[in-house]
Amino acid sequence: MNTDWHDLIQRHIAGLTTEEEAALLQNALKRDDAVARLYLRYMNLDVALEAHAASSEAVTEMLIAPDAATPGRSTRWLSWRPLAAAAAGLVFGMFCTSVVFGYVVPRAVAKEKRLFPLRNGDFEQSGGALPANPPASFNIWSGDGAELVAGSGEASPKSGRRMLRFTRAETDPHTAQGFPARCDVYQLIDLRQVWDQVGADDEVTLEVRASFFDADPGPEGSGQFRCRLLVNPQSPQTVRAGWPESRFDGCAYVRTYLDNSPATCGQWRTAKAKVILPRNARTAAVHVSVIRFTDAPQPDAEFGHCYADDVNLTVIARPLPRKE
Amino acid sequence: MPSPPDHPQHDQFLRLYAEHEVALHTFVRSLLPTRQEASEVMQEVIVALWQGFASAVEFRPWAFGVARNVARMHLRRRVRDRHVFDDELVNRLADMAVQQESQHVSEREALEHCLQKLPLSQKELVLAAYTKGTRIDDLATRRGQTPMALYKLLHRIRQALLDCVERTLTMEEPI
Repeated sequence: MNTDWHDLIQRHIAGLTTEEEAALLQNALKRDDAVARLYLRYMNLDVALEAHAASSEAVTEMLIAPDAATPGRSTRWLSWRPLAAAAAGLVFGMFCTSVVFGYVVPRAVAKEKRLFPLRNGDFEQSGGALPANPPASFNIWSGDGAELVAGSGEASPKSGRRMLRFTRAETDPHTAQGFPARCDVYQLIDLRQVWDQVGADDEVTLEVRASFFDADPGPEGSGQFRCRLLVNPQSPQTVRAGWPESRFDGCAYVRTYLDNSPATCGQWRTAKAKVILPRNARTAAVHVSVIRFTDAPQPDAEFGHCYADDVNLTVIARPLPRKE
Repeated sequence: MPSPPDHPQHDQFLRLYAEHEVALHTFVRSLLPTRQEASEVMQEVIVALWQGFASAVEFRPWAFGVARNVARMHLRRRVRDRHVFDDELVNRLADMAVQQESQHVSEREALEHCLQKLPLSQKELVLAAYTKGTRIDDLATRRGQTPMALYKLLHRIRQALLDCVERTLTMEEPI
């Protein structure tokens, strides 16, 4: 039998093996040193990642002091410290002492990061064409000509098995003459989910990241990927009903451009944009697009070689400093 | 319960424990099927170590021996579960884990470098998955994925990290 030991060991670690597979693994671990060494390496990785997760600023829903993560060696030290501190905490706890967690969360102002549940941000759910704009409901992607596709000869997903492919521009009231040619994809978010989760006095930042890939910039001219976050004081229903003009009404937005060129062709690049949420914001729209600048109108321009993947939305809540 | 604090001995114990804690945790983790069980057993190991701690001499082999015994006692309660390793295998893995500890230390150092090289989204995902209290099915729901799709993605990330660690240690990619 040609067993994929990486797969079997990882499924064992995740508790997903059947009894037969567990027996197969046990036998291999007893007779095959290479499998046993691989198993121990995965276990070492497992513990190391757990320790990193306990200390990393990147981790979701975790309180951390921002000035604690100083660069260089101290970062490495810190990354291991929580385990030791936690253990020491247990021992100290036996002695009714409570100083240990001062190591981990010192005096600085804490911030809290959450991955926001952006639906299908990695485009893994189902395939095929997206519904057309305007968004028919919240938490779904809709777009001009766009579809969810598997990897192909010209592009592989940044992660997972699927990605978004921009296919065709649609005429837009803001680009009525058809240029620049632009393919837009949106997801509408109801921000009540955010306000329910943060403190009344928190400063709340919304951050979007999206990755883009241009497989063939082509001879037509220069182009850009755009990642934009729009926040709006209107209700999600109102924004949807008045689409597309309503997406800009009373809106704050932030955007990031990535210029396409032959030099950037064939590589995934990530754009990030963040905005401090006004307290009256009720709706957000995540907007990813590709634009081609041309000398003549191209209302139905094709974009078959442009892709996006891994669109993430993060909420960062930071208590405002108290006044003295 | 542990005896009242004897500060010099307590300080000495803490220093030794902190020095060896990651190695002990890895060792215990390699003998047990889940992270949760490893964490529970580690708490028993800490208590057993403190109760038995008498001297710093030969602390490391003694501590590993204690950890092995605590883990084996834990596993005996689940002897009918075929996912649980038998004594023969536990002893073999324990011996190998001790032999490979210096290699594992190097791998943990290299992992720092490899985590930095991961795409940010993957780094955030893997650390979110390893955050205490995270349930994979909840995380998958938040990401709009099935749990199985998320397991597979994590599988690929872990394998990529292991590959990167190997390349780093063989100097193909110097840190």
